[in-house]
Amino acid sequence: MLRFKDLNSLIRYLNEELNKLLIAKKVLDDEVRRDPLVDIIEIDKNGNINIKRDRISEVMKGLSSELDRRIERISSLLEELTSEFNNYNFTGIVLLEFNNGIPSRVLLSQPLTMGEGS
Amino acid sequence: MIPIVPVLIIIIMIGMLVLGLIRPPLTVIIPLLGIYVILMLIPYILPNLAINQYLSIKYIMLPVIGLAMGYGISILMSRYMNIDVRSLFGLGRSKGRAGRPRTMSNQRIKRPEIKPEELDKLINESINTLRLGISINETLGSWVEYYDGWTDAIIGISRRFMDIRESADIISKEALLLSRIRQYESKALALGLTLREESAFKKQRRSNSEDRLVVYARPEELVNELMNATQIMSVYVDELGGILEKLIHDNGISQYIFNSRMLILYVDGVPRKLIMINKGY
Repeated sequence: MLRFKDLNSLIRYLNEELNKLLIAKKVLDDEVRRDPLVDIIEIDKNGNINIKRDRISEVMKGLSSELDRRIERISSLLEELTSEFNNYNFTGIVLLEFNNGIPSRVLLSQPLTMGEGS
Repeated sequence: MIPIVPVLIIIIMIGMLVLGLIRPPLTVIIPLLGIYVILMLIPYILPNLAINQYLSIKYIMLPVIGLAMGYGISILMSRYMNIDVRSLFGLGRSKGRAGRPRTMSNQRIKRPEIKPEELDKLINESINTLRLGISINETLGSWVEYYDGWTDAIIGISRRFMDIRESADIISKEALLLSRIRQYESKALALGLTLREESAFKKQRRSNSEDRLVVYARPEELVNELMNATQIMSVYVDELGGILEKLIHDNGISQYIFNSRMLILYVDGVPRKLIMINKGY
C-alpha cells in the first residue's frame, strides 16, 4: 500500500510507472527477439551478489504476461481517475492498494473536520 | 365454620403465583401441577368418596391461572421495568451459577479432540497461509524497468526507495492517529462539536459501487489496513535500502556496469536482477 499526498501526485506516479513499464516492455520484447547471452547481476534474499550469464528469454520467462497485467491495470486506474475527477485535485488520504502485487484500487478518505452541530 | 378447601385452593393459587414470579424450570412446575391435578381428580377416581364439593375439575384451573399470571408479571417486569423478580427472591443468581458449569462441561464433551499429529498439520497450514498472505497479497509485485546507464539506474532505484520510505512513514503516522480517532470523536462530542465529512466527499461516496477502482472509505475503516501496511512496508524499506547500499558500494559490480544499458527486474517490489544489455553483441 502506498500513500500519496493528494490525487495529483498519485496520477503523476501512475503515469510515470506506466511510461517506465511501456518502455521496459518495448526494450524487453526487442531483446527477447534477438535473445543474446547477457550478464546478470543477481541479488539474493540474503543480499549476496552473484553474477552469471544467461539467455534473456530464460530470465524473463513468464514475466511478459505479468507486465501486461500491470500495464492494463494501471491504465484502467488512470482512466477511472480521469473520468471521475477530471483534474480536480482531491487532498485527503490517497492510498494505492496492491493486490497480488498489482496496483488494484485507489482508496480515498478524508480526515474529519470539526464543526458545531451537524 | 370456615370452608377449609376454598381457602386451601386460594393459598395454593397464591403459592403458584409466587412460583410463577420466580420462573422455575419446567421440571419443577410439571410435578407440582401433576400432584395438584391428582388431588383434584380424587372425586372422579373414587366416585364413592364424596369429600367436599370444592374438590372439582373446575378448580384445577385456578392455580394454573395463578402460575400463568405470576410468570407473565415476572417477564413483563424484567422487560419493561428492568427488575429481575428472581433476584429479589435471592434465587436468580445462584441458579445462574449452577447452570453455567453444566453447559461448559457439555461443550467440553462435544468439542472434537485434536490429535497431536493433526495439530502439527494445522500449525503448518496456518503458517503457510500467513506466509502466502505476506508474500503474495501485500507486496508490490514484479515488474521490469529499463535504464540507459548505471547512473540512471541507481537514481531510479533511489527515487523509488525514497518514495516508498516516505509513504511508509506517513502511513505509520496516520495509522496511529486514525486508531485514536474514536477517542477524539467522543471528546469532541463532549465539547458539543461533531466530526463530519465535507459535503462534496459525502456526495461522491453515495455514488459508490462495489466494482469501482476508486473507493471512498471512512478514515476509521482504514485503520487496520494501514496498521498492516506499516509493518509490511517497514520490512520492505529495510530490504530495499540494504540492496541499494550494496549496489552502490560493491566493487565487483563496477566492471559490468560500465556504459551498458540495463533492464532491472523487480521481484516482490525489490530489485533482484540487473540485466546488462550490450548493443551489437
